[in-house]
Amino acid sequence: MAGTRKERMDLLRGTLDLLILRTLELQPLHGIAISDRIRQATRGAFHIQAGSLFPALHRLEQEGWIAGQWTTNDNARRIKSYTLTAAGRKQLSAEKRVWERIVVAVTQVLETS
Amino acid sequence: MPFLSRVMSFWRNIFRRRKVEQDLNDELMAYVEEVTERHLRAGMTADAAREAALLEVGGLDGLKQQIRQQHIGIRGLRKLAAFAGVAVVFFSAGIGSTLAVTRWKESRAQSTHTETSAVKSDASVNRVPRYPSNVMFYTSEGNAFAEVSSSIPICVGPNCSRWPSLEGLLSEKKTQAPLANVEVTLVPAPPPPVLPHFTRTDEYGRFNFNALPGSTFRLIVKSRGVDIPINTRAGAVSVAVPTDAPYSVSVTRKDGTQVEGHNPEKLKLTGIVSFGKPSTPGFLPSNFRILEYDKGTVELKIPNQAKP
Repeated sequence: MAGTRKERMDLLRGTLDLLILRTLELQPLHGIAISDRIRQATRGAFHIQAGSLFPALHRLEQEGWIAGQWTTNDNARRIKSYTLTAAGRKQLSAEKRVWERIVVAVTQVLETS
Repeated sequence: MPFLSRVMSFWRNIFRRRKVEQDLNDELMAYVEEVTERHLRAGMTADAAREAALLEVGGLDGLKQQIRQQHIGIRGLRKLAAFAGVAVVFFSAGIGSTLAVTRWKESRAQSTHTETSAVKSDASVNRVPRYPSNVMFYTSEGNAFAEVSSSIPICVGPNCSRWPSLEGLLSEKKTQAPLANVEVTLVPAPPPPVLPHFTRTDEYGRFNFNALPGSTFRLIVKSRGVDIPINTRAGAVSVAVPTDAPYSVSVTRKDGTQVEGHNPEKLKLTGIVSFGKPSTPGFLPSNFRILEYDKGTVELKIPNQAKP
């Protein structure tokens, strides 16, 4: 189990923020719902575990890119859901551009014979 | 009134920190509960579901610590430069968890290497037993009483336990009544590489943890969600050893006298209890247990053995 987790980690490095910001762009969500949504959207390729999800959420919140609000769910449990802020929207488009550049660059390398 | 305002801000700070801590706890617990419920719906038992959820989180305390440190780190770095934010982002995304996994692996690797020889259990310091990569734990003093024993992973054969385990008995301090169905947790300290372990006592107040990685743990007992402070008594050392190797056991009592033996029959010491089937004369049975209730040292000498 440890091995697969590490592979996922490497896969995610650098793209995690992008995925979270993009997911929250559509609607505010709480921790596990964010992870679920990403898993659905990537058809299971990315399963973001708590160990990387929560540190990332707190980091993004501190950067001011997302904002947490407390609500209660049906079981009267306190739930913290996150919304994308205006600064986060800006960051998202910046990261999208970076990502596109990476994709182009890597593709070029791969296609060089 | 500068003094008063300073006092006020001191208190505000403390309350704020508590609030932050509470929020972090609630957020992560909501996640654990949700994952637990999913496992339950998938047909797991309550204990297994919770354990699996915690395993998925990879150690609540470790994760909290990681997030706390990150809060401090980012605040500090912001003062330095604008680019720091980006650098920290990628760095901390991967490293925290991979590091935790590797270190956990390392500690696993270490304990499989052990074929070492001496186990000391000093009842007077509330710790069982001292061993290079073994389970150690500490507790606070209080009204409940835990009688605990720990097994030592010296066995390298296929049929014996490689992992330290901890078993014990919980009873009410004054009445000695068993504490049934209370939640028992081993919280690793220091937190990151090792996971917390949960179990519940049975009707006789017994509990048992198996396959613990070598680490230091804090033993926590909860009844209906409330912490019960406990006292421990280093009660017993229980060891699983292969039947085809000679071992010797020596027990030093409080008064300095020593008892040694090569099989349980020769150890005529009150307090030594053996269980398991008797094996070849001169050898210990595959399972035996040393109980030493006098405050003293129990030393178990196990010669290094060849790996299979």
